[in-house]
Parts: sequence; C-alpha cells; structure tokens
Amino acid sequence: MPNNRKIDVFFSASAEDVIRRFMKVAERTMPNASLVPIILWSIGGKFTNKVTGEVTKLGPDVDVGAIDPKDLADELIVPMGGLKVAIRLPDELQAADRLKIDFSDGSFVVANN
Amino acid sequence: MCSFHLLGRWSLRSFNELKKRWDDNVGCRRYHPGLLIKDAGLVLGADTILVRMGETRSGAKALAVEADRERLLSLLGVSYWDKVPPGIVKNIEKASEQWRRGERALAHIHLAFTGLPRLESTDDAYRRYLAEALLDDGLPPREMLAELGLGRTVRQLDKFDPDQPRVPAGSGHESGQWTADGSLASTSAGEDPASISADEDHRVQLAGDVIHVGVLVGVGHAYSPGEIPSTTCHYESAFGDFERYYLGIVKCPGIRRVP
Repeated sequence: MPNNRKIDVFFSASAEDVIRRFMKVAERTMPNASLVPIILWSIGGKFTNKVTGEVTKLGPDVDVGAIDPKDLADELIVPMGGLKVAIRLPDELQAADRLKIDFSDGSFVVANN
Repeated sequence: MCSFHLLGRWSLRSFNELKKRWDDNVGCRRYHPGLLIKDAGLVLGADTILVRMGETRSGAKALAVEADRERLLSLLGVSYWDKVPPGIVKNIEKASEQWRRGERALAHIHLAFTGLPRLESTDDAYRRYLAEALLDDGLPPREMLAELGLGRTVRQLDKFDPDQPRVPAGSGHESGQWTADGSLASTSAGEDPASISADEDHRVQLAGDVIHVGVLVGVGHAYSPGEIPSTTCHYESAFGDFERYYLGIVKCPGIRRVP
C-alpha cells in the first residue's frame, strides 16, 4: 500500500538527471520488467572488486535503485516530471514537510529543509 | 561598451538603424538571462543566437556547434567578459545531442551544467546584440575579440583547429570529438547516425560520468534477539559483487547503482 501522505519533494537537476539515466540503464538491463525508481537508504554494505578481490566496506548512504512496483510497501510515491519515484528513507526524514534530493560528488544527498 | 574601432565599421546611419532596431524591437523582448535552446538555435539575452540550428544528415534538428564554434566562444567571451569556462563547448554539444533525440529537459540540464552565471542587465544584452551584429556583418571573431582585449577567449579559439577532422554530430559518445587521422570522421553512406547508440553496452554517459548497475542475485535476513532485524541484498555487476544492508525486513530493488 503506497504512502499517500503529502510531502513536498524537490529533486535537483543533477539528481533528476542521474535518476533518469539510471532508469535507462535499468530498463535495458531488465527489458521485460516493469520497474520504478526508488530512492532508498541503506545502513552499510561491502563491495568486492572482481579483478583484485579487494573488499571495500561501504558506509550508510542514500542511492537509487529500480524496483518492481509489486514490491513496494508503504513508500512515498512522488512525481518527477513524467516519472513516479518511490522514496524509502528514515522515518525522521519522511516526517518532514519538505525534502530536497540532490546529487553531488557522486552521491545522493537528502535535506529536509 | 564597444571599442571605437569596432563601431567604426558601421556608418553612422547603419549604427543608428541598429540602435533603433534595439530600441523598437529587440530591447523590449523578454531577456533570457541563461542559455536556452529555441527553434532558431542556442540563444542568450535578447534572442542573440550563439549557435544556429542546423540539421544532421538524417534531417534531425541539432545545434551547429562545430560550424559555429568560433561564433559561440566569441559571443560568450563578450557576454561574460573573457571568462568562458573551458569545457563549455562540450556541455553544449551534449545538450545538442539530447535536443536531437527529443530530450529537451535533458538538453537544458546540460546547459545548466555549463555553470554560467545569469546575465540580467540590459547592458549585457545590448553588448551581446552589438557583437552579434558585428559578426553577422562579417567581422572575423578573432578580430572582434582582439579589439575588445579579450585575449583569454582568443587563446581558447586558438586551441581549436577548425581543419582537424571531427566525428560528425549524431554519432553517440564520439560526436564532435577530434580524431587524429579522420578515421572516425565519416560514417558509411546511408548509415543513420541515430542508429549509433551510446547505450548499447548497458551504460549511458550524459553528464560526464557513466552509470553502472548491479543486478540482484540474493537476499538474506538477519534476526538477533533484542535487535531490529535487517535485510542484506546481494548484487552482481561487471566490476564486482556488492551487498547493501537495510534495517527491517524489506524488499530489495532488482537493480542498484554500483557503489
């Protein structure tokens, strides 16, 4: 059940550009899937370099993914141009009246002012 | 506003006509304080055309950046008084490429990436209007820049050799790139440049960096007494495998950007 709470979400031009480009790649990677973009936070992770085997620990971040709409639970759904974007963020952020999502230096940045 | 020598190119009558045209028509138009692509081309200020709209061989509308490169840099040099960002032509080529594809929003996003400050004043627009008129009157761009003392922009022009072979517009990533021997400077007859996609290998380059993605290959859940359960999503990509941890039992996105 999508979250229909009203929240003013603003995407910067750079964030919108990255989300749209990501979705183009995602649609080509899984052409038969009907995916929607989702901005989501994670508490960490790790990356294993295929060539060197080096393992890098990843810190908490906010990034973009593509998800099957059937897998959405109570995420916020906000329009971005002609695209609908799901947002899964910490409750503290989603309780704000206004969110600004920016993309800077290779990372997404979320501000609630 | 404009050097005496430059204005001396025009007779008093033609200068007065130019001034009257500004006062009667151009000066009262709505200004574009930033770059904008219109049907006529890339415009700034009072519809001063920095780059004219042309057509690719397939008939698609695209900015004639290559042909108008000197005009573009010269008018920007005059507009921003010799402070033209070095990578601006690349941004405008990318904007043109998106415009050709019908992606108007993306085209203007690329224009925003030029980082040019907004020019709000009438003086800026009038100076640009006069410079455009001089160029349209046949004044060589380098001569105009030299007269105005805009040496830095002249040096930017000097770095560009118009005779060096370049990959034609509409050739994906390589559009407008210089080539050492011209080997990429032509496409085979009948080949539609639009069919040469930059996206064939599951990546896209628009804003200077490439987006790579990983595909979900596994999901794990962790339950520890007294703690919030968590979800681990496992992804595979061309560069390596990665995991992302989430609080709670959540569904994993099928695709994620490679960290």
